[in-house]
Amino acid sequence: MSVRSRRMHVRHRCQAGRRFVIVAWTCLALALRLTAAYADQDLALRIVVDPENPATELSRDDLADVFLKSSTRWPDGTAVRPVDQKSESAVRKTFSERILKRTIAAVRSYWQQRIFSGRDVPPPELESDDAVIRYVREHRGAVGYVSGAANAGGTKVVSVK
Amino acid sequence: LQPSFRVKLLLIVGATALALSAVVIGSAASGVRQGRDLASVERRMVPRLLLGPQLEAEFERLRRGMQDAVAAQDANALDESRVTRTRLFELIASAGDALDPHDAALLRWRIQDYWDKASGVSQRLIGGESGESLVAEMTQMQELQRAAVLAIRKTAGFNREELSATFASIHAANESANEFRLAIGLGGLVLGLGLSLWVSRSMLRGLAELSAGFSRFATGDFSRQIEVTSEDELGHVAREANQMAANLKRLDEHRERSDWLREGQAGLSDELRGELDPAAVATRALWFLAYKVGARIGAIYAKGDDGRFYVAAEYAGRGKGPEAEDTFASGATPSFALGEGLVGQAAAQEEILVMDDPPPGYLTIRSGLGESAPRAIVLVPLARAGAATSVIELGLFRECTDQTREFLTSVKLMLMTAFEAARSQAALRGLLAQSQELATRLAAQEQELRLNNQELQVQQEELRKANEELESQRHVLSEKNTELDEARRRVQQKADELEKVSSYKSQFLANMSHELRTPLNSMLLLSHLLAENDAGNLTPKQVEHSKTIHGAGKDLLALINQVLDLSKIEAGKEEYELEPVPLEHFVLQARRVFAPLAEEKHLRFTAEVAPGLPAMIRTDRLRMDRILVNLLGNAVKFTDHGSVSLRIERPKSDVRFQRSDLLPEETVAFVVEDSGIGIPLDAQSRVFAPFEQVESRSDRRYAGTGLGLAIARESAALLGGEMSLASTPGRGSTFTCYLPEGRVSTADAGAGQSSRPVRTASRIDDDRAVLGPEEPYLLIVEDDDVLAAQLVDIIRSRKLRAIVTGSGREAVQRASERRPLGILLDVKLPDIDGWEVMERLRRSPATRSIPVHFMSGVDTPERGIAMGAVGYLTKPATRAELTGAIMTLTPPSQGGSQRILVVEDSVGQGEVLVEILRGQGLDADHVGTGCAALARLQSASYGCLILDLGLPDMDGLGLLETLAQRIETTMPRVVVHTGRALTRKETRQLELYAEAVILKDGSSEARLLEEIHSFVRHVTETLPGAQNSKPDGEKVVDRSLVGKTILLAEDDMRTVYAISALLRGKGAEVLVADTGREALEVLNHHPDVGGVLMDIMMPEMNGYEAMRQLRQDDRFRALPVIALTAKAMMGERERCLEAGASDYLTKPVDSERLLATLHLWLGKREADGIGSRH
Repeated sequence: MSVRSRRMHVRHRCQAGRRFVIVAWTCLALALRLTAAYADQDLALRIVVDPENPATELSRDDLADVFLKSSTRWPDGTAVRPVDQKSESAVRKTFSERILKRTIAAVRSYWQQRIFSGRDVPPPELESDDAVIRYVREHRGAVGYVSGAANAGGTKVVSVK
Repeated sequence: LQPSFRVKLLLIVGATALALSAVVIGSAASGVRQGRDLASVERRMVPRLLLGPQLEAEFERLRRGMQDAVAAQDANALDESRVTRTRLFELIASAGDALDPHDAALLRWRIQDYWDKASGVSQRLIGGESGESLVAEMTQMQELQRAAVLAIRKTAGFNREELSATFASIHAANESANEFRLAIGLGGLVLGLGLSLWVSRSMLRGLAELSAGFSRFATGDFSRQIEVTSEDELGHVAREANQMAANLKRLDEHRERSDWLREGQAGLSDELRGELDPAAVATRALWFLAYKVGARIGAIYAKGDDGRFYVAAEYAGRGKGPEAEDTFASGATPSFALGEGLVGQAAAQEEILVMDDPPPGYLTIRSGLGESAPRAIVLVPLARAGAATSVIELGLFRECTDQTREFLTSVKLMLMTAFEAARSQAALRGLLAQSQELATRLAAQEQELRLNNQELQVQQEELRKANEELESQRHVLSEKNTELDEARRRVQQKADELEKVSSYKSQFLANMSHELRTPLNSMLLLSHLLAENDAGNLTPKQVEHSKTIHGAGKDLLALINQVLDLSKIEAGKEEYELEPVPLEHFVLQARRVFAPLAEEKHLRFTAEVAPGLPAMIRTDRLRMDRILVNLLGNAVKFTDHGSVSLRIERPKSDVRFQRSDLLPEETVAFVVEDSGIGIPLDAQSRVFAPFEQVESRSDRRYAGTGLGLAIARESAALLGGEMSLASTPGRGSTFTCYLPEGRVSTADAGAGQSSRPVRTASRIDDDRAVLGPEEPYLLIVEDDDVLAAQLVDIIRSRKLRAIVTGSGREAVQRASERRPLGILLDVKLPDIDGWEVMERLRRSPATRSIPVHFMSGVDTPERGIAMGAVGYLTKPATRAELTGAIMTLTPPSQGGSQRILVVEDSVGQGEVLVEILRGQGLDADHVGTGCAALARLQSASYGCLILDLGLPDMDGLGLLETLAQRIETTMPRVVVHTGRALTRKETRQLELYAEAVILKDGSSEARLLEEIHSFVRHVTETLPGAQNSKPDGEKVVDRSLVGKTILLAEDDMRTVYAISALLRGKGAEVLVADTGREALEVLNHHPDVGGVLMDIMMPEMNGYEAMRQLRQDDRFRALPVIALTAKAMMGERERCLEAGASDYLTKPVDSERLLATLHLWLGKREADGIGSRH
C-alpha cells in the first residue's frame, strides 16, 4: 500500500515538473513577442497632461493607478482628471496593454463593478485624440493619452518611465 | 383590657395574612404591566430586527442584478431587477406594525428613485455609451443608492433609542413594584413583631407568678395563695391551682391526726407487750394513756369478783393506804358497784363520759409547789361481751378534744384484750405449779426403766461381736476375687498382644507379598523376554539359563502365593461366602483341569457323583475348588501309573468325625483316591503340617512347596468341614474332605438350576440374515430371549450387527468361523456352560483375543476376570449396565489415542513394561505416582492406562475415582496390574473402572500383552491378522520407515539435522523445507511423500497456514501431518489439530515418541490404503 502511494507521489512530481517546463517555455515565447510589439509601438503612444502640471515624467505604475482611480490627487494636491478614449480605438488597446497591463474587457469589468457597488465612476471616454487634447487643455489636473500622430498642442507631453 | 390569648394569636395571624395578600396583589399588578411592555417589544422590535437584514439582502440583489445585466450586455436581464424591486416593496408592505407608515412610504420612494436612475444608466451602458454625461448620471445614481441604503438602515434597522426607552419603562415599573412589596413586607413584619412581643410579655408575667405559686405548694407551704390578676387562661390555671392547694392542706391535716392516733396505738401496744401480771399491765397502760392525752391525774378501776370496781392503778393519785396492798382481794378503799357514782355509771353506760369544768374542790391535782383543779374529767369504760370489766378515769387541765376522745375509743379494745390476757396468764401460772409436781413423780419411774435398758445393751454387744467375725471372713473372700480378676486381666492382655503380633504378621506377609511380587514380576518379564531371544544374539545356553531363571521365579511366586494364602487363613482373614453350588460343578471342573494332565501321564481319571446326594450344596465354590485342585494335583503328581479318581458320596457309616457338629446324613464326602506312592504311617500325621513332604530327606523328585495340604485342611475347617487320610505306602492314598451340606433353600435351587430346555437355534430376530461379508458384529450367547432381544436392540442402536445364539457350542463354532468384535457370554447355558465356552475360546489361537463379557445370575466376577474376560455383569442388569458391557466390547468411536500410560511405583518394573510396549510398536509413557498420572492424563490423551494399585501417594482405586470425576472425555481403558491380592469388595469396585485386573504372577505378562493387543485392535480397527501376531522377531518400527519419504518442514538447522539423521537411520528418505511455502512446493513436486513433520514457527508462512493450505489440496487431504512445536501450552494441540494436523509433538522431540507417532500414522495410512483397495 505504502509502496503504491509512494509511486503515485513520484509520478505526480514528474507531471508537475513537466508542467513547469511547458509554462516556462510559454512565458519565454510570450516575453519575446511582447518585447517586439513594445518596440514597434513605442512611439505610437503619448501621455498628455495639462500645461500647468509640473510633472515631466510619470512611472507606468503611477499612470495605471491614476487611470484606475487608485490615486486621485497629483503630488501638489490637484484632483486628477483622467480621460479615456473609445474602446474601439487602437490607441486605447495599446494603452490598456502597455500601461494598465490588462485587456479592455478586463478594465470594463473592473469599472462595472465599481459603478454598481457605488464606489466610483470611470473616466469619460472621448471620441478622438483631438477631443482628448482639448479636454486636457481645458481641465486643470487632467491627464490623457493620444496616438503618436496627434498634435498635442497646448498640452504637456510627459514621458513614461 | 385583658383579651384572651386566643384573640391575641388570631390578631397576629390576621395582620400577617393581610400584609401577604397586599404583597401578592401588588406583584400581580406589576407583573401584568411588565408583560404588556414585553409584548410590545416582541410585536414591534423583533420583526424590525428581522426585516432590516432581509431588506438589505434584497437591495444587494437588486444592485447586483443590474451589474450582471450590464456585464452580460443583456437588456432583458434588467427586467429581473424589476421583480426584485417589487419584492422589496412587498417586504416593506408585509412589515405592518413594525414600520412607521411614514417611514415605509419614504423608503419605497427612495428605492423607486434609485431603481429608475440605475436602470436608465444600465440601459445606456448596455447601449455602449461612455461619455461625460453618462459619467455624471452614474454619480447621481450612486448618490441615490447611498440614500436608499441609508433609508433602509434607518427605517428597518435596529432602533436603539426606542428599545432602551421600552426597557427603561419596564425597569421603572419593576422597581416601583419592588418598593411597594418592600414597604408592605416591612410594615407587616413590624406589626407582627409588636403583637408577638405584647402577647409574650403578658404570658410570661402570668407564667412567672404561676411558677412561684407552684414551687411554694411543692414545698408544702399552703399559706399564701396565687394572686389572680387576669381573666385569661392563666387566670383560670391560677384559680384551679389555689383550689388544689386548699385540698392538699386539708389532706395534710387529716394525715397528721391519724398519724398521732396510730403512734398512740403503737406506743400503747409496745407498753403492753410481754408477760405481765394484771397490776403491772394496768399501771403501764394508765401511765402511757396519761402521757399521751396529757392527763395530770388518773386511775383504773377493775371489776372484782364481787362485781364491784376497785382501784387497780393510779397516776398522780391520792396514794394508797398500807392496807391497800391487794385491791383485787381486799375490796378496801373506794369501790363502786355498777351504776354507783360516775365510775359505776360509766361502766353501766359503756360509753365515754366527759365532765367539763368540775366544780372547785371536787378534785385537785397537786405537785410539790402547788395544786389546781382539772378542767375536764374523762371516764372510759372497758367492756367485753356487754359487760364492763374496767373503767379508766383521767383528769385533764384542758378540754377533752374530739381527737382525745377518738384516741381513747380506738384503744379501748386493745386495753380490754391486754387486761384479759394478763388475767388468764395469772390463772395458768397456778396450773403450772400442779403439773411440776406430777413431773417429779414421772422421773422416778424413768429411773427404773433405765436399769432394764442396760441389761438389754449387754446382750446386744454379744451379738455385734459375732457379726464382726463374719465380716472378716467375707473380706478374705473378696481379696481372693481381686486376685482372680488380676490374673484374668493379665491373660486377656497376653491374648491381645498375641492378636496384635498375629496381625503384624499378617500385615507383614501382605506387604511382603506385594514387595516380593513386584521385583519378581520384573524378573519374570525380563527373563521371559530374554528366553524368547528376539534379538537372536543369545547362545542356546544363555537362553536355557534365562528359561531356568523364569522357571525358578515362577516357583518362587507360587510359593509366595501359597504362603500368603495360608497366612491369611491362619489369621482368620480369609473371607468366604456360602452360596448354592451344584455338585456337578466340581466334577466338571475336575475333569476339565485334570483329565488332560492325567492323560499326559497315561493315568485313568474318573470323576463322579454318587446317587442319593442333593443336587446342590451350600459352600464357598472357590475354596472348595482350591481344596480339590490341591488334592487332585497331589494325586496326579504322586501317581505314575494306575488311576486317579474323585468321588462325591455320603460318608461311610463307620466314620468318626472330629467335629461334633458334622452329622453323617448331612455331610458330603469328597474322596480323592490314587494309586500312587502312598504315605508311610509315621508320616501320615505330618502331611497336613506346613512345609512337610513325605520324602523330604534326599531327592526331591516331586517338586512342590508342601503347603497345598495345609491350605486344604485349613480351608476345609473354614468351611465347617474336615479332612482325613488313609494310605498304604506303595499302594496309594485316599484323601477325604467332609463338608456339611448346608441348607439349600428352594429359591436358591431355582436360581442355580438350569431347568430351561436346550435351544440351539434362537428365535430371536438377529442380524445373521443381513450381515455383510466384511461387516463387524457382536456375538450374544444367551438363552434368555427377553435379555437377548434387549441386547440386540442396544447393539443395533449403536449401528452394529448382532447375532444371537443360545448354545455354547454354536457360539464357539461361530466365533472360530468368523471373528466377532466381541462376545457377550451367559454363564448358564443348556449345553456347555459359559466357563467352558470361555476355555475353548482361549484355547484356540484364532479366538484367543476376542474380548468376552460375562453375564451371569451368579455373582462370581473374579472368576470371570481371572479367565481374562473384559467384564462381568450380574443379572438382573439395568439397561445402562448392558450398554456399558457392549461399550467395552465395541471400539471407541473416534479420537482414540493409542498412547499408553504406565503407572507403576517401581521404576524398573515401569521401564520394563514401557520397553515391552514400545517393542510392540506402541507409544507408552511411565509415571511413578498417582499425582503425576493425573497430571499426564489431563495434559495429554491416553487410550490406555496400566495401573499398579500400590502407589506411594494415593490408592490406585482413589486415583481411578478421581480420574473419573475429573476427566471430561472418555475414560481410557484401564488395566490393573498389581501384586496385591484383592478382596471381593475391591474387585467389584475396580470393575467399575478397569477393563481387566491382572495379578503379577507367572502368566501376567502374557495376559497384559493380550490386553494391550486387544486395546490396540480396538483403536486401530485395522491390520487383519495382526490380532494374533505375537511379536515374533518382527521389528515393526524399523520396517515401517523403509522406503518411506518424509518431508521435514523446519527452519532450525540443528533440529533438521537431528531428526533427518534419526529418520534416515530408520531407512526413510527425508526431504527438507525451510518455510511453509517451500514445504507446499516440495509436496507439489513429490506427491509420493508419505508423511510430513511440520514445525509451527517458520518464517514467511507458519505451520498453521501451511497445514491449512495443504489440506485444501485433494491429494493431501489424508496425508499424515505431524505438527512440531516448542509451545507446550494448553490449547496448542487443539490449534494444531484445527489447522489440519494429524498429530502433535512438543519440542524437544523425543526420538522414541517421534518414531512411534510416525509409525502409527504411516501404518494407519497404509492400512487405509489396503482397506480402500479391497
